[in-house]
Amino acid sequence: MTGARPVLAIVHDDSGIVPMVLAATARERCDVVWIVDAADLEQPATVRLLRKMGTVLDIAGMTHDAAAEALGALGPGGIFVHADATLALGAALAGRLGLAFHDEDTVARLTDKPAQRAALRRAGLPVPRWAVLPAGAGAAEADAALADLEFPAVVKPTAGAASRDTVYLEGRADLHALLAQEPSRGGIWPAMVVEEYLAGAPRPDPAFADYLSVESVVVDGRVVHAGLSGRFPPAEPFRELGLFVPAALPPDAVGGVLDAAGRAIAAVGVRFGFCHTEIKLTAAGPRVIEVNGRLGGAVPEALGRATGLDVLGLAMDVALGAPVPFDGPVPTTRVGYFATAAAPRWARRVERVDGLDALSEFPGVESVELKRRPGDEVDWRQGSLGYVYSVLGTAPDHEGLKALKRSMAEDVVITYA
Amino acid sequence: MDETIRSVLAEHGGLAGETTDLGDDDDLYRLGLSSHATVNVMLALEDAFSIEFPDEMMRKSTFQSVAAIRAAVTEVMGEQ
Repeated sequence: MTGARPVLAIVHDDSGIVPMVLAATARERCDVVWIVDAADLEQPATVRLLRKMGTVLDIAGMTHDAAAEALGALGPGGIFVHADATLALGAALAGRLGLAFHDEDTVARLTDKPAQRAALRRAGLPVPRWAVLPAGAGAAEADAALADLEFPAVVKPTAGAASRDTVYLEGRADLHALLAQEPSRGGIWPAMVVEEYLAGAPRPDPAFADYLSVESVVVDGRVVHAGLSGRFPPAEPFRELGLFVPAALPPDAVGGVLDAAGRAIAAVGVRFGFCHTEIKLTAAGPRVIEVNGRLGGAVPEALGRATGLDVLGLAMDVALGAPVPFDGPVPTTRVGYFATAAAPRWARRVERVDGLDALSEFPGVESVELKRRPGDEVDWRQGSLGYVYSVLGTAPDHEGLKALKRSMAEDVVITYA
Repeated sequence: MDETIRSVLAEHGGLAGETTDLGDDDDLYRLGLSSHATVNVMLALEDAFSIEFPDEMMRKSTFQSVAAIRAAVTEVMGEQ
Protein backbone atom coordinates (compact mmCIF):
# COMPACT_ATOMS: atom_id res chain seq x y z
CA MET A 1 0.00 0.00 0.00
CA THR A 2 1.36 3.39 -0.90
CA GLY A 3 0.78 6.54 1.08
CA ALA A 4 1.41 4.87 4.44
CA ARG A 5 4.45 7.01 5.13
CA PRO A 6 3.74 10.48 6.44
CA VAL A 7 4.82 13.43 4.33
CA LEU A 8 6.91 16.17 5.87
CA ALA A 9 7.27 19.52 4.14
CA ILE A 10 10.77 20.88 4.70
CA VAL A 11 11.37 24.51 3.80
CA HIS A 12 14.81 24.62 2.25
CA ASP A 13 17.18 27.38 3.26
CA ASP A 14 20.78 27.64 2.07
CA SER A 15 21.79 29.00 5.47
CA GLY A 16 20.19 26.20 7.47
CA ILE A 17 20.81 22.51 8.01
CA VAL A 18 22.46 20.73 5.08
CA PRO A 19 19.86 18.91 2.92
CA MET A 20 21.82 15.64 2.96
CA VAL A 21 21.66 15.61 6.76
CA LEU A 22 17.94 16.37 6.76
CA ALA A 23 17.28 13.68 4.16
CA ALA A 24 19.25 11.08 6.08
CA THR A 25 17.14 11.76 9.17
CA ALA A 26 13.86 11.84 7.27
CA ARG A 27 14.58 8.66 5.34
CA GLU A 28 13.54 6.28 8.10
CA ARG A 29 10.39 8.14 9.13
CA CYS A 30 8.72 10.03 6.27
CA ASP A 31 8.67 11.18 2.68
CA VAL A 32 9.84 14.72 2.08
CA VAL A 33 8.47 17.60 0.06
CA TRP A 34 11.20 20.20 -0.30
CA ILE A 35 9.79 23.70 -0.54
CA VAL A 36 12.19 25.79 -2.55
CA ASP A 37 12.19 29.20 -4.09
CA ALA A 38 14.51 28.37 -6.96
CA ALA A 39 14.88 32.05 -7.82
CA ASP A 40 16.47 32.65 -4.41
CA LEU A 41 18.93 29.77 -4.28
CA GLU A 42 22.62 30.55 -3.82
CA GLN A 43 23.37 27.38 -5.71
CA PRO A 44 20.91 26.38 -8.48
CA ALA A 45 22.24 22.79 -8.50
CA THR A 46 20.56 22.34 -5.12
CA VAL A 47 17.27 21.59 -6.87
CA ARG A 48 18.82 18.64 -8.67
CA LEU A 49 20.13 17.35 -5.35
CA LEU A 50 16.79 17.77 -3.59
CA ARG A 51 14.94 15.94 -6.37
CA LYS A 52 17.04 12.88 -5.56
CA MET A 53 15.84 13.00 -1.97
CA GLY A 54 12.14 13.73 -2.30
CA THR A 55 9.57 15.82 -4.14
CA VAL A 56 10.53 19.40 -4.94
CA LEU A 57 7.91 22.13 -4.83
CA ASP A 58 9.34 25.25 -6.43
CA ILE A 59 7.30 28.19 -5.22
CA ALA A 60 9.19 30.87 -7.15
CA GLY A 61 6.77 33.60 -8.14
CA MET A 62 3.84 32.03 -6.26
CA THR A 63 1.64 33.82 -3.76
CA HIS A 64 1.35 32.17 -0.35
CA ASP A 65 -2.17 31.07 -1.28
CA ALA A 66 -0.95 29.41 -4.47
CA ALA A 67 2.01 27.82 -2.73
CA ALA A 68 -0.21 26.48 0.04
CA GLU A 69 -2.62 25.03 -2.49
CA ALA A 70 0.21 23.32 -4.35
CA LEU A 71 1.68 21.99 -1.10
CA GLY A 72 -1.70 20.87 0.18
CA ALA A 73 -2.13 18.69 -2.90
CA LEU A 74 0.96 16.76 -1.80
CA GLY A 75 -0.62 15.83 1.53
CA PRO A 76 1.88 17.03 4.13
CA GLY A 77 1.29 15.92 7.70
CA GLY A 78 3.74 18.47 9.10
CA ILE A 79 6.13 21.24 8.23
CA PHE A 80 9.73 21.72 9.34
CA VAL A 81 11.67 24.97 9.15
CA HIS A 82 15.29 25.25 10.28
CA ALA A 83 16.31 28.84 9.55
CA ASP A 84 15.06 32.24 10.68
CA ALA A 85 14.75 33.53 7.14
CA THR A 86 12.07 30.99 6.22
CA LEU A 87 10.02 30.99 9.45
CA ALA A 88 7.55 33.46 7.94
CA LEU A 89 7.06 31.33 4.84
CA GLY A 90 6.58 28.25 7.01
CA ALA A 91 3.99 30.06 9.12
CA ALA A 92 2.13 31.32 6.05
CA LEU A 93 1.90 27.83 4.58
CA ALA A 94 1.16 26.09 7.87
CA GLY A 95 -1.60 28.56 8.72
CA ARG A 96 -3.33 27.99 5.40
CA LEU A 97 -3.06 24.19 5.64
CA GLY A 98 -3.83 23.77 9.34
CA LEU A 99 -0.38 22.36 10.12
CA ALA A 100 1.11 22.75 13.60
CA PHE A 101 3.67 25.56 13.49
CA HIS A 102 4.23 29.11 14.66
CA ASP A 103 1.51 31.51 13.54
CA GLU A 104 2.53 34.58 11.56
CA ASP A 105 2.27 36.98 14.52
CA THR A 106 4.55 34.75 16.57
CA VAL A 107 7.10 34.64 13.75
CA ALA A 108 7.09 38.44 13.72
CA ARG A 109 8.01 38.39 17.42
CA LEU A 110 10.63 35.70 16.84
CA THR A 111 12.43 37.44 14.01
CA ASP A 112 12.14 41.12 14.89
CA LYS A 113 14.26 41.90 17.93
CA PRO A 114 12.42 45.05 19.06
CA ALA A 115 9.05 43.29 18.75
CA GLN A 116 10.38 40.40 20.81
CA ARG A 117 11.81 42.63 23.51
CA ALA A 118 8.47 44.44 23.75
CA ALA A 119 6.66 41.11 24.16
CA LEU A 120 9.10 40.02 26.88
CA ARG A 121 8.66 43.31 28.71
CA ARG A 122 4.85 43.11 28.49
CA ALA A 123 5.08 39.68 30.12
CA GLY A 124 7.05 41.13 33.00
CA LEU A 125 10.47 39.75 32.09
CA PRO A 126 13.40 42.08 32.81
CA VAL A 127 14.71 43.43 29.52
CA PRO A 128 17.46 46.01 29.00
CA ARG A 129 16.35 49.32 27.53
CA TRP A 130 16.65 49.56 23.78
CA ALA A 131 16.14 51.92 20.86
CA VAL A 132 15.76 51.31 17.15
CA LEU A 133 17.90 52.96 14.49
CA PRO A 134 16.14 53.20 11.14
CA ALA A 135 17.93 51.83 8.06
CA GLY A 136 20.60 54.17 6.78
CA ALA A 137 20.65 56.29 9.96
CA GLY A 138 23.45 58.81 10.30
CA ALA A 139 25.16 60.03 13.46
CA ALA A 140 22.67 62.82 14.17
CA GLU A 141 19.68 60.53 13.73
CA ALA A 142 21.36 57.92 15.94
CA ASP A 143 22.00 60.44 18.70
CA ALA A 144 18.35 61.48 18.67
CA ALA A 145 17.13 57.88 18.73
CA LEU A 146 19.45 56.95 21.59
CA ALA A 147 18.90 60.02 23.73
CA ASP A 148 17.46 58.00 26.63
CA LEU A 149 19.90 55.09 26.42
CA GLU A 150 22.87 54.52 28.67
CA PHE A 151 26.18 53.07 27.53
CA PRO A 152 27.86 50.65 27.23
CA ALA A 153 25.46 49.16 24.72
CA VAL A 154 25.27 46.57 21.97
CA VAL A 155 24.12 47.27 18.43
CA LYS A 156 22.86 44.58 16.07
CA PRO A 157 20.56 44.36 13.04
CA THR A 158 16.89 44.09 14.05
CA ALA A 159 16.55 40.93 11.97
CA GLY A 160 20.05 39.55 12.25
CA ALA A 161 21.42 36.19 13.33
CA ALA A 162 24.75 34.60 14.28
CA SER A 163 26.13 37.89 15.65
CA ARG A 164 26.61 39.33 12.17
CA ASP A 165 27.39 43.05 12.39
CA THR A 166 26.96 42.93 16.17
CA VAL A 167 29.20 45.39 17.99
CA TYR A 168 29.90 46.48 21.57
CA LEU A 169 29.62 50.24 22.04
CA GLU A 170 31.49 51.90 24.88
CA GLY A 171 29.89 55.21 24.03
CA ARG A 172 28.20 57.21 21.28
CA ALA A 173 31.51 57.82 19.51
CA ASP A 174 31.79 54.07 18.84
CA LEU A 175 28.40 54.11 17.17
CA HIS A 176 29.32 57.11 15.04
CA ALA A 177 32.49 55.34 13.95
CA LEU A 178 30.53 52.22 13.09
CA LEU A 179 27.94 54.07 11.04
CA ALA A 180 30.73 55.74 9.08
CA GLN A 181 31.83 52.29 7.88
CA GLU A 182 30.12 49.96 5.43
CA PRO A 183 28.17 46.96 6.79
CA SER A 184 29.51 43.46 6.03
CA ARG A 185 27.07 42.91 3.19
CA GLY A 186 27.72 46.34 1.68
CA GLY A 187 25.13 49.02 0.98
CA ILE A 188 23.56 50.99 3.80
CA TRP A 189 23.20 49.82 7.40
CA PRO A 190 19.92 47.95 7.90
CA ALA A 191 17.54 48.89 10.71
CA MET A 192 19.33 48.14 13.95
CA VAL A 193 18.50 47.79 17.59
CA VAL A 194 20.77 49.30 20.22
CA GLU A 195 20.32 47.95 23.71
CA GLU A 196 22.03 48.60 27.00
CA TYR A 197 24.75 46.07 27.66
CA LEU A 198 23.96 43.37 30.21
CA ALA A 199 27.00 42.76 32.37
CA GLY A 200 27.54 39.10 33.19
CA ALA A 201 28.00 37.73 36.68
CA PRO A 202 31.55 36.74 37.65
CA ARG A 203 32.31 33.44 35.98
CA PRO A 204 33.20 30.50 38.22
CA ASP A 205 35.33 29.09 35.40
CA PRO A 206 36.87 31.53 32.90
CA ALA A 207 36.97 28.76 30.29
CA PHE A 208 33.22 29.12 29.88
CA ALA A 209 31.04 32.11 29.04
CA ASP A 210 28.50 33.90 31.20
CA TYR A 211 25.65 32.98 28.90
CA LEU A 212 24.06 29.79 27.62
CA SER A 213 20.99 28.59 25.78
CA VAL A 214 18.05 26.40 26.63
CA GLU A 215 16.86 23.98 23.96
CA SER A 216 13.12 23.39 24.26
CA VAL A 217 10.33 21.58 22.46
CA VAL A 218 6.86 23.09 22.47
CA VAL A 219 3.68 21.17 21.66
CA ASP A 220 0.27 22.81 22.05
CA GLY A 221 1.85 25.48 24.20
CA ARG A 222 3.45 22.98 26.62
CA VAL A 223 7.14 23.71 26.91
CA VAL A 224 9.53 20.80 27.54
CA HIS A 225 13.20 21.65 27.97
CA ALA A 226 15.51 19.15 26.32
CA GLY A 227 18.84 20.52 27.51
CA LEU A 228 21.14 23.43 28.27
CA SER A 229 23.95 24.40 25.92
CA GLY A 230 27.00 26.14 27.31
CA ARG A 231 29.23 28.57 25.48
CA PHE A 232 32.90 29.38 25.26
CA PRO A 233 33.93 32.99 25.86
CA PRO A 234 33.21 34.65 22.51
CA ALA A 235 35.79 36.13 20.16
CA GLU A 236 35.75 39.88 19.99
CA PRO A 237 33.24 41.49 19.77
CA PHE A 238 30.46 38.87 20.06
CA ARG A 239 31.45 35.99 17.79
CA GLU A 240 30.38 32.69 19.26
CA LEU A 241 32.91 29.86 19.15
CA GLY A 242 30.48 26.96 19.10
CA LEU A 243 28.59 25.35 21.95
CA PHE A 244 28.55 22.32 24.19
CA VAL A 245 26.05 20.24 26.13
CA PRO A 246 25.59 20.14 29.07
CA ALA A 247 26.29 23.72 30.10
CA ALA A 248 28.75 24.08 32.97
CA LEU A 249 26.10 25.40 35.32
CA PRO A 250 25.82 24.75 39.06
CA PRO A 251 22.82 22.45 39.68
CA ASP A 252 21.11 25.02 41.89
CA ALA A 253 21.12 27.53 39.04
CA VAL A 254 19.37 25.29 36.52
CA GLY A 255 15.83 25.87 37.77
CA GLY A 256 15.99 29.64 37.43
CA VAL A 257 17.40 29.41 33.92
CA LEU A 258 14.73 26.96 32.76
CA ASP A 259 12.03 29.08 34.34
CA ALA A 260 13.26 32.19 32.51
CA ALA A 261 13.33 30.30 29.21
CA GLY A 262 9.83 28.94 29.71
CA ARG A 263 8.42 32.36 30.57
CA ALA A 264 10.12 33.92 27.55
CA ILE A 265 8.83 31.26 25.16
CA ALA A 266 5.30 31.80 26.47
CA ALA A 267 5.68 35.58 26.25
CA VAL A 268 6.66 35.37 22.59
CA GLY A 269 3.64 33.16 21.97
CA VAL A 270 5.31 30.00 20.73
CA ARG A 271 2.95 27.02 20.71
CA PHE A 272 4.73 24.51 18.46
CA GLY A 273 8.23 23.53 17.51
CA PHE A 274 11.75 23.85 18.82
CA CYS A 275 13.08 26.93 20.59
CA HIS A 276 16.65 27.99 21.24
CA THR A 277 16.57 30.58 24.02
CA GLU A 278 19.76 32.46 24.87
CA ILE A 279 20.16 33.52 28.48
CA LYS A 280 22.77 35.65 30.18
CA LEU A 281 23.76 34.92 33.76
CA THR A 282 23.87 38.25 35.59
CA ALA A 283 24.37 39.19 39.22
CA ALA A 284 20.62 39.91 39.35
CA GLY A 285 19.72 36.48 37.97
CA PRO A 286 19.19 34.94 34.52
CA ARG A 287 18.22 37.44 31.81
CA VAL A 288 16.77 36.44 28.44
CA ILE A 289 18.86 37.63 25.51
CA GLU A 290 16.73 36.17 22.75
CA VAL A 291 14.22 33.45 21.87
CA ASN A 292 14.79 31.74 18.52
CA GLY A 293 11.90 29.74 17.09
CA ARG A 294 13.95 26.93 15.62
CA LEU A 295 16.68 24.47 16.46
CA GLY A 296 19.90 26.25 17.36
CA GLY A 297 22.86 25.82 15.05
CA ALA A 298 24.92 22.75 16.05
CA VAL A 299 22.44 21.90 18.80
CA PRO A 300 21.43 18.59 17.19
CA GLU A 301 25.08 17.59 17.06
CA ALA A 302 26.06 18.63 20.58
CA LEU A 303 22.85 17.71 22.40
CA GLY A 304 22.63 14.45 20.51
CA ARG A 305 26.17 13.44 21.41
CA ALA A 306 25.69 14.33 25.06
CA THR A 307 22.38 12.51 25.51
CA GLY A 308 22.06 9.93 22.75
CA LEU A 309 18.91 11.73 21.61
CA ASP A 310 18.26 11.94 17.87
CA VAL A 311 17.44 15.64 18.08
CA LEU A 312 16.72 16.21 14.42
CA GLY A 313 14.62 13.07 14.29
CA LEU A 314 12.69 14.26 17.33
CA ALA A 315 12.09 17.63 15.69
CA MET A 316 10.71 15.92 12.60
CA ASP A 317 8.57 13.52 14.64
CA VAL A 318 7.11 16.39 16.65
CA ALA A 319 6.41 18.30 13.45
CA LEU A 320 4.47 15.25 12.28
CA GLY A 321 2.40 15.15 15.47
CA ALA A 322 4.32 12.80 17.76
CA PRO A 323 4.42 13.55 21.50
CA VAL A 324 7.64 14.62 23.23
CA PRO A 325 9.10 11.46 24.79
CA PHE A 326 10.54 13.16 27.91
CA ASP A 327 9.46 15.66 30.55
CA GLY A 328 12.56 17.69 31.23
CA PRO A 329 16.24 17.98 30.44
CA VAL A 330 17.46 14.70 28.98
CA PRO A 331 20.21 13.16 31.16
CA THR A 332 23.69 13.55 29.72
CA THR A 333 26.41 10.91 29.86
CA ARG A 334 29.23 13.02 28.43
CA VAL A 335 29.89 16.43 26.90
CA GLY A 336 28.97 16.89 23.23
CA TYR A 337 30.56 19.85 21.52
CA PHE A 338 30.89 21.83 18.32
CA ALA A 339 33.84 24.19 18.69
CA THR A 340 35.12 26.73 16.20
CA ALA A 341 38.15 28.96 15.78
CA ALA A 342 37.68 32.57 14.74
CA ALA A 343 40.17 34.88 13.06
CA PRO A 344 41.38 37.88 15.06
CA ARG A 345 39.53 41.08 14.38
CA TRP A 346 42.39 42.60 12.41
CA ALA A 347 42.81 39.64 10.04
CA ARG A 348 41.68 39.94 6.44
CA ARG A 349 42.86 36.68 4.87
CA VAL A 350 43.96 33.18 5.88
CA GLU A 351 47.53 32.45 4.78
CA ARG A 352 48.22 29.00 6.27
CA VAL A 353 46.51 26.47 8.48
CA ASP A 354 48.69 23.86 10.18
CA GLY A 355 47.91 21.24 12.79
CA LEU A 356 44.40 20.12 11.89
CA ASP A 357 45.64 16.55 11.45
CA ALA A 358 47.08 16.58 14.97
CA LEU A 359 43.83 18.00 16.34
CA SER A 360 41.85 15.26 14.64
CA GLU A 361 43.83 12.73 16.71
CA PHE A 362 42.72 14.30 20.00
CA PRO A 363 40.60 11.82 22.00
CA GLY A 364 36.89 12.24 21.28
CA VAL A 365 37.29 14.32 18.13
CA GLU A 366 35.01 12.97 15.42
CA SER A 367 35.58 15.48 12.65
CA VAL A 368 37.57 18.58 11.87
CA GLU A 369 36.35 20.74 9.01
CA LEU A 370 38.17 23.63 7.40
CA LYS A 371 35.83 26.43 6.37
CA ARG A 372 38.26 29.19 5.40
CA ARG A 373 41.12 27.84 3.27
CA PRO A 374 44.46 29.51 2.68
CA GLY A 375 43.75 32.49 0.45
CA ASP A 376 40.15 32.88 1.67
CA GLU A 377 39.08 36.20 3.11
CA VAL A 378 37.98 36.55 6.74
CA ASP A 379 35.91 39.36 8.17
CA TRP A 380 34.90 39.62 11.82
CA ARG A 381 31.69 41.37 10.78
CA GLN A 382 30.39 38.06 9.41
CA GLY A 383 29.83 37.08 13.02
CA SER A 384 29.82 33.56 14.39
CA LEU A 385 29.58 31.90 10.97
CA GLY A 386 32.83 33.44 9.74
CA TYR A 387 34.97 30.89 11.59
CA VAL A 388 38.09 29.27 10.12
CA TYR A 389 37.56 25.66 11.18
CA SER A 390 35.29 23.58 13.37
CA VAL A 391 35.66 20.51 15.55
CA LEU A 392 32.86 18.12 16.41
CA GLY A 393 33.15 15.50 19.11
CA THR A 394 32.70 14.44 22.69
CA ALA A 395 34.59 14.77 25.94
CA PRO A 396 34.11 12.76 29.13
CA ASP A 397 33.48 15.93 31.15
CA HIS A 398 34.07 19.69 31.17
CA GLU A 399 37.74 19.24 32.08
CA GLY A 400 38.10 17.12 28.96
CA LEU A 401 36.42 19.88 26.97
CA LYS A 402 38.91 22.41 28.31
CA ALA A 403 41.73 20.09 27.23
CA LEU A 404 40.24 20.04 23.72
CA LYS A 405 40.22 23.84 23.68
CA ARG A 406 43.88 23.85 24.76
CA SER A 407 44.70 21.52 21.88
CA MET A 408 42.91 23.87 19.48
CA ALA A 409 44.97 26.76 20.81
CA GLU A 410 48.31 24.97 20.92
CA ASP A 411 48.28 22.38 18.12
CA VAL A 412 46.64 24.40 15.38
CA VAL A 413 48.56 27.34 13.96
CA ILE A 414 46.76 29.70 11.62
CA THR A 415 48.65 32.43 9.86
CA TYR A 416 46.71 35.49 8.73
CA ALA A 417 47.38 38.51 6.60
CA MET B 1 38.71 6.52 -12.44
CA ASP B 2 41.05 8.16 -9.95
CA GLU B 3 42.12 10.74 -12.51
CA THR B 4 38.50 11.69 -13.18
CA ILE B 5 37.68 11.87 -9.47
CA ARG B 6 40.66 14.12 -8.82
CA SER B 7 39.77 16.25 -11.83
CA VAL B 8 36.22 16.69 -10.49
CA LEU B 9 37.59 17.58 -7.07
CA ALA B 10 40.01 20.06 -8.61
CA GLU B 11 37.24 21.76 -10.55
CA HIS B 12 34.42 21.66 -8.01
CA GLY B 13 35.89 20.83 -4.59
CA GLY B 14 37.47 24.17 -3.76
CA LEU B 15 40.11 22.35 -1.72
CA ALA B 16 43.21 23.77 -0.15
CA GLY B 17 46.20 22.57 -2.17
CA GLU B 18 46.59 20.51 -5.35
CA THR B 19 44.37 17.47 -5.81
CA THR B 20 47.33 15.57 -7.31
CA ASP B 21 48.88 15.65 -3.83
CA LEU B 22 45.80 14.17 -2.17
CA GLY B 23 46.20 10.92 -0.32
CA ASP B 24 43.52 8.32 -0.90
CA ASP B 25 42.23 8.66 2.63
CA ASP B 26 42.80 12.35 3.21
CA ASP B 27 39.72 13.90 4.79
CA LEU B 28 38.35 16.25 2.15
CA TYR B 29 36.27 18.18 4.69
CA ARG B 30 39.43 18.87 6.66
CA LEU B 31 40.87 20.28 3.45
CA GLY B 32 38.01 22.68 2.96
CA LEU B 33 35.30 20.76 1.07
CA SER B 34 32.16 22.71 1.94
CA SER B 35 28.56 21.54 1.93
CA HIS B 36 27.88 23.51 -1.23
CA ALA B 37 30.98 22.13 -2.90
CA THR B 38 29.95 18.59 -1.92
CA VAL B 39 26.76 19.02 -3.94
CA ASN B 40 28.71 20.24 -6.94
CA VAL B 41 31.21 17.38 -6.64
CA MET B 42 28.42 14.83 -6.39
CA LEU B 43 26.60 16.17 -9.45
CA ALA B 44 29.83 16.45 -11.45
CA LEU B 45 30.70 12.85 -10.59
CA GLU B 46 27.28 11.76 -11.84
CA ASP B 47 27.87 13.55 -15.10
CA ALA B 48 31.44 12.35 -15.48
CA PHE B 49 30.61 8.68 -14.90
CA SER B 50 27.04 8.73 -16.29
CA ILE B 51 25.69 7.40 -13.02
CA GLU B 52 23.12 8.42 -10.47
CA PHE B 53 23.89 8.18 -6.78
CA PRO B 54 20.93 6.57 -5.00
CA ASP B 55 19.16 8.31 -2.16
CA GLU B 56 20.92 6.25 0.52
CA MET B 57 24.32 7.46 -0.67
CA MET B 58 23.32 11.08 -0.15
CA ARG B 59 25.45 11.51 2.95
CA LYS B 60 28.59 13.43 3.72
CA SER B 61 30.67 10.31 4.35
CA THR B 62 30.19 9.22 0.73
CA PHE B 63 32.33 12.17 -0.34
CA GLN B 64 34.77 12.28 2.57
CA SER B 65 37.85 11.03 0.72
CA VAL B 66 39.05 9.94 -2.70
CA ALA B 67 38.85 6.34 -1.51
CA ALA B 68 35.26 6.78 -0.30
CA ILE B 69 34.25 8.40 -3.58
CA ARG B 70 35.94 5.63 -5.58
CA ALA B 71 34.11 2.99 -3.56
CA ALA B 72 30.78 4.73 -4.05
CA VAL B 73 31.24 5.24 -7.78
CA THR B 74 32.37 1.63 -8.21
CA GLU B 75 29.33 0.37 -6.31
CA VAL B 76 26.90 2.47 -8.33
CA MET B 77 28.51 1.53 -11.64
CA GLY B 78 28.20 -2.10 -10.69
CA GLU B 79 24.51 -1.71 -10.01
CA GLN B 80 23.54 0.36 -13.03
